[in-house]
Formats: sequence, structure tokens, C-alpha cells
Amino acid sequence: MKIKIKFFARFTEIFGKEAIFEYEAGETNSLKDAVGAFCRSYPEKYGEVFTRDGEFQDYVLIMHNLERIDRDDAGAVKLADGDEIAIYPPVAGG
Amino acid sequence: MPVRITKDDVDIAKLIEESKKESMGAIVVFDGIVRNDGIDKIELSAYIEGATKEIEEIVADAEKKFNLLSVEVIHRIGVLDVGDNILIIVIGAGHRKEAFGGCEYILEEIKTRAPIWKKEHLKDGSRWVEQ
Repeated sequence: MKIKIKFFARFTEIFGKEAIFEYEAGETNSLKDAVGAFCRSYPEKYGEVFTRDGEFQDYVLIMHNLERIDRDDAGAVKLADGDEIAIYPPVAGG
Repeated sequence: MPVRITKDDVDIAKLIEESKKESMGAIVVFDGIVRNDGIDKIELSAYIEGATKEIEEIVADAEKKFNLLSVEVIHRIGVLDVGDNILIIVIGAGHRKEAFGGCEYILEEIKTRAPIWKKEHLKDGSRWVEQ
């Protein structure tokens, strides 16, 4: 299965602007699992997005296919091939 | 197009003229500009598809809540200088209270919900703005 993970603002300086993350279906079941697996490939920076307990940091914002996802619900969001996930820090527009 | 995220500046006077309808009694314009906080330039970036969708939802909510007759939102991205326009909101309504209320609602919601970021460029480096 392939998903696209996009990063924005200061997260682009760590993970790049976007990545195609490929994994076996069933290996990682939820949005949180998939983003966690991707971020673990950057062990020194993993803590920018996740806590030691594997939860999203409380400042991380998430969109799944252009819909805002509450970070507490990310463990229940199932992914499909081709899904797009955006991970970003607090916004500062206007 | 009521919501635009663009590098280009806009002609605010033209936007006002194009917004006018006979049923309107008030047009309120918000023009957010780059303030000189000791910066050299400011760089705005956005998740364009996500921000457009989020702002369109904010506008739809505001139209219902405040009975608005027209809404234009232009959020600029790219590198901007002190004094440049960042966010222009033009609201038309039957009465001033609805126009002011709708404008403030859209502005405050954009500031907390739209995935748009600012990076300040200083003489000796740069820093992300996080509100």
C-alpha cells in the first residue's frame, strides 16, 4: 500500500515536503501507525511529531484527504491506497 | 472566486466595486499587512488545497451565521515586504453589524484553522512564527 505524507512549515526542514510511504497492508493499520512508522526512520527527530509513548505531540495538526483529524482519533483512522496525510505545526496565517 | 490563495496582490478598490449589490447596505474590508517587527521580509507558505477547503468551510459558516451577501477572501503567499498586503477580506451585507461580524468571524477562524504559516526573515537569520 502507498500513501502520501506531506509536511509543512518547520516540519519540512526535518522530513522534506512530502514522502511516498510504502508498506504491506495490515502491517500498520491506522493513520497514527503509518505516520509513526515513517517518522521512526528519523530517530533523532521522531520526538518532534510523537511523544515517547507513541502519541502525537499535542501541537501537531493532521489532515487526512483534506479533512481535519483530531489527533486523539488518529489511531482509529483507517487508510486506503493513495491516501494523502498532511502533518503540520500550529498555523499562523492572517 | 470567493477564496484565493495566491502570490499575486489584488486591487482592493476593484474588489469592492465588483462586490456591490443593490440589496447591500454595508461593505467591510479587512486588509492585514506586514508589520515591521524588526524584520527584513516575511515568507508565507500554505497547504494550498487544505487551506482553500478550510477557508471555504469558514466562509460557508459565516454566510449562514451573518446573512452575508458577498464574501471575497484573498490570502497571499510567497515573500512579502513590510507594508505588503497579506490577507484581504471583503464582506457585503444588508447591514453594518452583519458585515462587521462576518468579517471578524472569518478573520479569527482563518487565524486558528487555515494551514498557512509565516517565516520571518531577519538581518541575521530566520524564524517560524507560531501563534
